[in-house]
Amino acid sequence: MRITTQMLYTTFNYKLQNTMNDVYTTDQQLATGQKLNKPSDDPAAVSSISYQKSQLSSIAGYQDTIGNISTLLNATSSVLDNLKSLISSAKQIGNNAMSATASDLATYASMIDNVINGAVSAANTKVGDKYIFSGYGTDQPAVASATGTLTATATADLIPMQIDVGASVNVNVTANGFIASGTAQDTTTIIGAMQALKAAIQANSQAGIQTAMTALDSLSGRVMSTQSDVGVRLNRLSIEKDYLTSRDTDVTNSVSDKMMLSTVDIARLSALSQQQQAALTSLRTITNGVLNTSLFDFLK
Amino acid sequence: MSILGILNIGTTALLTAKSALNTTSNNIANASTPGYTRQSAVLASVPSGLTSMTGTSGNGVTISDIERMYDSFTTLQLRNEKSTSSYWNTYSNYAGSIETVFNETSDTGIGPAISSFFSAWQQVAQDPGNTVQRTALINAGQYLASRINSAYNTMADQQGQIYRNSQDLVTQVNNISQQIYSLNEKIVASPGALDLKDQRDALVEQLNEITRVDTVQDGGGRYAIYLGGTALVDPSGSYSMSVALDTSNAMQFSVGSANINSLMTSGSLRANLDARDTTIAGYIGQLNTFAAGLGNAVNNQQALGFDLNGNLGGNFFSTTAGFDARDLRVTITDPRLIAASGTAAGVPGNNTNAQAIADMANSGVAQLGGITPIEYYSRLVAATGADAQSANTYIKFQTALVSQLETQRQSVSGVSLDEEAVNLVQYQKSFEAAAKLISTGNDLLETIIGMVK
Repeated sequence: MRITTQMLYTTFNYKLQNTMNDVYTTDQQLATGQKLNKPSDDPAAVSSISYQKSQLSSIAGYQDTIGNISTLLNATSSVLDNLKSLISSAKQIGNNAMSATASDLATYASMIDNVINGAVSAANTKVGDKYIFSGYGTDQPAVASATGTLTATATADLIPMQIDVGASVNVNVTANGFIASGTAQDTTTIIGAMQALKAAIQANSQAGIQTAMTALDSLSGRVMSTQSDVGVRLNRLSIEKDYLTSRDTDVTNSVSDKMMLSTVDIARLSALSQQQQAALTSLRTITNGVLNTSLFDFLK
Repeated sequence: MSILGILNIGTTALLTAKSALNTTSNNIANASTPGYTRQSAVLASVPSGLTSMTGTSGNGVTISDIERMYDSFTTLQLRNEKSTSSYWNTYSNYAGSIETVFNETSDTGIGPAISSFFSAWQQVAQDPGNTVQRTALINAGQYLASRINSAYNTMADQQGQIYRNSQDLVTQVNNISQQIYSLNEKIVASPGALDLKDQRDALVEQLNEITRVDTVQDGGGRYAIYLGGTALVDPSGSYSMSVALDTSNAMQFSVGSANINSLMTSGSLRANLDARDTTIAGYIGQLNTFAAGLGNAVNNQQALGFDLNGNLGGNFFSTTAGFDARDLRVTITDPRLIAASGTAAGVPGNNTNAQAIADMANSGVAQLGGITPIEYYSRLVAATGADAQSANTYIKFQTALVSQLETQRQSVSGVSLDEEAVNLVQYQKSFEAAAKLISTGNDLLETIIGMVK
């Protein structure tokens, strides 16, 4: 084959371009620390990364939701503890009232009033700007402080919140029918039973006091059962949180494996980069040697 | 043979060596000229015209031809492969630009904007009465819409740029066609004009890089140029190509009144046509489907819920019939109008409608063919990446092939400076010997004239 001058230029140019392209690709990977810098580097992997990043975003959202629900349920649990204590106090006052003289009854009635106020205050607990016992009516108190009855905006609705795909947890306990109802002295509710107890004390009705205290006993059990339900929900949140943390780690690792250079990759690419640079230097030296001389240099 | 005959032979040798040196000089001068074909002086002895049993010496030397070292087969192959190479180079440039629009290896793509949008709905579902979360949702929606608008506009700009580039290339095609026609006439008038033939071949190669053509040479040495059977140049003249946009915004190429879209098989123009009206148009179509699907799905669910005023939800996104992704906007400006509640009575604590929209991130959306928005978008990302990757693979193959063919052609038609240096010495020595011959003839004449004195 005849070797011509232009052929040498074309061939060396082609080889230089190829080698420099290899050097550029390797250096870009090392500089960014990423195996993939554009979709065409590995379309299937980039598509998968896009989907997995969305999963990570969802997981972060669910983790955030779990944190918020935990705050609400822990606050609810504290309020239930408080209600349990208030019921206990009411029962103690009722017991004392049963053996008290008529002149002391007004004092006991007044003490029950304080307990009722405590229960109303507990029912109107806010977390952030939300009333947590008001059902859907989160922007209004659950119980009217003047009457101790349920406000018109408070509903009996439980609010479910998604903690994972297809999994949700109710974030609230409602006051409706449990702490209060629309009727005063409703003994099926905590405040109603306390109001009934107060009325019985004021009326010095032993039977009335006994009935109210029996109702409070039953409501104390309901508080404990509700607390247990809240505990179950918190436990579920804890399990879900661990699961999401584990998934977050797995998906993050998967994205990282696809996208980022591992220590082994970096060592391999560093060696490759040195090889490519050595090849480029050699090629430049050869190109310089071959193209820089011709027979004309030897003619005199 | 007379002494004067020696002088005549010396003269032919001197002139021939000088002409051969001219050819060598021209080769050296054009060693780097693109498209130049090496020339070679073909020497022949001048016969005496006499026959003799004992043999008769000739009358010197002459140049019978200046040969053009042209390999028509390799040149034809190279033209075709350069046309294909030009197609993939052009197409790859566009595919590379488009994949950057959907580059999900960074955190600034549309993917993260989709995730943020649905996360914002999830935040609203956590606290549906909170206007801070609602305002954050509107902002997330606006950001998503702006990223989608931007992707659409980038691709639409690319289409506009390709159309302008196509217009420029068509102008080049017409200029080249006219030049080839003009060179045809000059070559017919002067068949030995080798440099004109080189120029014409270089133009044909250039034309092939823009759009693949077939070349037919007639008996007179004219080239007729056909684009899939439609003449661009024939003995009668050259014919103008044109490009225009039709009513559906697609490029239509024609020569005279004949549409030649389907006749263009490779070259930059075909790449422009495919990239603009098939690939990019396809991506724009998918982006439109995505924007409309997402927008309508959110709007439909929004219409089922109730805002903080207790009214049925209005549109969250602006979507009208036949709308483009560039038109996607968030229409809600008042955060209270986000319909997070599933019932009018449930306001503000009910979050079922906000949750239903947040769930779209993980459940299929009918308007997107039953898959999630991020899955739909991820497929689009994969398609752009695969397209660019495929183009890059073709380029590597074609570049290697063209380089190999170029080497083959150069092997026959290229100038070797070393070879020309040898020729230079050879003809220089011939010139010196011819001069010596004339000098010797002159000495002989001097001797004879001296005898007479």
